[in-house]
Amino acid sequence: MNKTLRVLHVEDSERDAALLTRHLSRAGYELISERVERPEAMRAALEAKACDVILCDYSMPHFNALSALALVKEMKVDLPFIIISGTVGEEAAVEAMRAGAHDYLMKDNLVRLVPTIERELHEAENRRARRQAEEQLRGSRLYTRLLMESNIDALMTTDPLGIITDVNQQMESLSGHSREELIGTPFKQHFTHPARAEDGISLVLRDGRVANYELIVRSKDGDETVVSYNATTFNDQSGQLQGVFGAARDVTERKRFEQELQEKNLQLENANQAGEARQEALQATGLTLTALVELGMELGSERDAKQLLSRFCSTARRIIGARKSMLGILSDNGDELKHVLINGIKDAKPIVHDRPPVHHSVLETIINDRKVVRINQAEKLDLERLSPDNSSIRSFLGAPLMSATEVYGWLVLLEKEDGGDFTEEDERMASTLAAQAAIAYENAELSERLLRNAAELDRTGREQLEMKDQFISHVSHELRSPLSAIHQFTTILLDGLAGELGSEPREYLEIVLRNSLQLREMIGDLLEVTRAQAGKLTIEPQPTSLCDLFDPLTKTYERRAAEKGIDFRITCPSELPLVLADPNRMGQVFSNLLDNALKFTTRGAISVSSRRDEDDEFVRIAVADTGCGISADSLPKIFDRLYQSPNTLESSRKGLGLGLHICQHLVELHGGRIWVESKEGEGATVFFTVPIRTIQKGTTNFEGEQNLNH
Amino acid sequence: MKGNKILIIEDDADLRRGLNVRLRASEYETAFASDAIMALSIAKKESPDLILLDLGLPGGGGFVVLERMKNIASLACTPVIVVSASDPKTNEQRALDAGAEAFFQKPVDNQELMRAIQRALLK
Repeated sequence: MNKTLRVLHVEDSERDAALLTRHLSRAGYELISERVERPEAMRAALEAKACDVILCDYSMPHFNALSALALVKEMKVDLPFIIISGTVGEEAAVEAMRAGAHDYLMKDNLVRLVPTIERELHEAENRRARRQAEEQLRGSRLYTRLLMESNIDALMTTDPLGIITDVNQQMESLSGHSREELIGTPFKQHFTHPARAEDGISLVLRDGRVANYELIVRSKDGDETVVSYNATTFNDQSGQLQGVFGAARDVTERKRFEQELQEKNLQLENANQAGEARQEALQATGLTLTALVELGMELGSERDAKQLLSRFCSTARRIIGARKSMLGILSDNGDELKHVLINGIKDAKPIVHDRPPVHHSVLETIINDRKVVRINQAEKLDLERLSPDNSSIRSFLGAPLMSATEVYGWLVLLEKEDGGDFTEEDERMASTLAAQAAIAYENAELSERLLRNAAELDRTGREQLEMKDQFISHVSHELRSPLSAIHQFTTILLDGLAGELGSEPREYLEIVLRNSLQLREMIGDLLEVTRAQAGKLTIEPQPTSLCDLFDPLTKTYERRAAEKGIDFRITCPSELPLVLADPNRMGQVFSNLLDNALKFTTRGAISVSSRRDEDDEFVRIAVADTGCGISADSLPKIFDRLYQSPNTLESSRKGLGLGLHICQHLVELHGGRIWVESKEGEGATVFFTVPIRTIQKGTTNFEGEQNLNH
Repeated sequence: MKGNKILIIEDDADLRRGLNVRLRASEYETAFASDAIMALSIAKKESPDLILLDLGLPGGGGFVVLERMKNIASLACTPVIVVSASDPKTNEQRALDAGAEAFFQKPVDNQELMRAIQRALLK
């Protein structure tokens, strides 16, 4: 297996370069080598971008490794740079490494040459990938923004509690508020009927989506706009709900149109009732009205635009009683046909493109003048051209598929079934049907676009989480080194390794130590929560005894509680079954909850109790304190990421607001749930459940109870 | 125990110094290296009884040092304790697989580190 490797030798000796080449050829590389020994030649070679690795002699008559490194840096080239030298001492080598060389090798010992090159090629590839990923992230953020802004509908995203997290310009103009004003406010407060808006959100959360949900947006100045609201939920990589993506379309005009139609139908009915002679017609109208209502319902529930049109085409033919029906949908620029559906003849073929019927004068009239065209006993109108099977045509009825603002295409009915004429009645019916179809088509298109957008958001969201995860890992790693030095020297002083300490300096150093430990916890939490978001937090559940888990905690927390003058007890009934849990992660949950309890309690007691849950599937654990409690307002928010209690005692610092969020994530990963009960001023109790046996169809077959008797 | 020589391979001068104070206080002898290249030659010259190794080193990284050490007969049996700022979830197992005795994440609990050093020296 030969790999091609392009080597740039910066080397004055032809012989030495040949030596290296031989080494690499033996390792199976297909070599393309170039040798340079002066800066100008090296610059030209780098500009040509024709090498994968630079092997550089340490000193040459006209050049040296440090200048070569400077040149590489100046040209912003990121290639493995390896110094090969016969003379260089360790100190000089270290200096070169500091200047950016990746490694150095001795000419008389080239055993490491191949592994070093391979490793550095790999590293360079990693650096390249990282840079590319960072650029992509920037790009994808912009892309998401453009996606939002290019939409003609008012778009908004909310978190699962209905708080707006993003909006586009259309939403700004509809609501009269700026984006900054809207973000962070409850979704429902921008509607005339907040309760209905809230129901809408509940529906989305229940079903994953909601379609054509009618709402009235109320702007800052009190203007009201009727909108049709379509929304779907979107999740992160781990399938955890992130929020709701919604689009609101202004349907004020459409509503008016529908109302007019309804009134017209009513008038028609009244007119019919007036004349006894038209009893028969009344009956027929009654029938068609029923059919119409049914069709309306059918269309309302149809999601796929093409399927919807095909149903519509056949239903229209049936209701009006024509031999053939055709339905044409215009392309987005309006001068071609996107779909043509034909109904009522055998072997129907789409109309061929060299005779696009959109250019027939009758069809143009329908589209351009937006009106119904009815022709009976036609002879010289060249209507055969329209017939899918070239049969002669005597009667024609065509109506535009038209919403309040746009024409989407036409509905054409050919040849009244009984050989008679299309009536005024038929004309009205065609017009109503076409309007219904236009609305349904519009909705189906909107819904399809919405799904596409949501999928797109899902994807970019996942990419962003991945990038964030990498970024936070990197940052937390870099923060740990200085923190480590602070911690080390503080403990050196406290341990008396630099001489005796007075009581005051000791007290101050203890404060430094306490804070550095807190900082360490925070960095850990930060990494943890980012990992959770990227779906990378994993657990390894195994049969675990809660009592064993409590043991080490008891000592630590008894001492800490005693320092504050608080009682502390953990009760663990001996008949408690084993649970299926990751002991480390469970310990983390307990520590987090107990730290919180300690933080908010100044007197009284903290207690941990556990018992088998009623349903026998879980053990339920309660961590109760007699602290300041949680207000009713705050209760639904306390598991949110970055939630910080307003009641934090003066003496203790606010945390990052990640502890409970991580607890929730960990408990849910185990298959349990976590909740809190509290009244302000009366303490709080956090409950959570841990499964006794495998939840759903996991890979573990263990049942905790089998090992109960030990 | 006392008088054993420990080589500190760490590129951060402050952390090097801090560990030095710690180890000297427990009456260990110390030697230092601040990058991957110096690490091996110093290790060969000093033949320490134990090595504390940082992972993020200039000139190759701690894993490279660890790997090469295990291939040098005179160093192959010297216990190595990794002290790194990196995430134990990604690096601890890898370090142990490469032959390290233990893995500590910075900032370390000094008592635990001292215990681990004693244990490793007793082996």
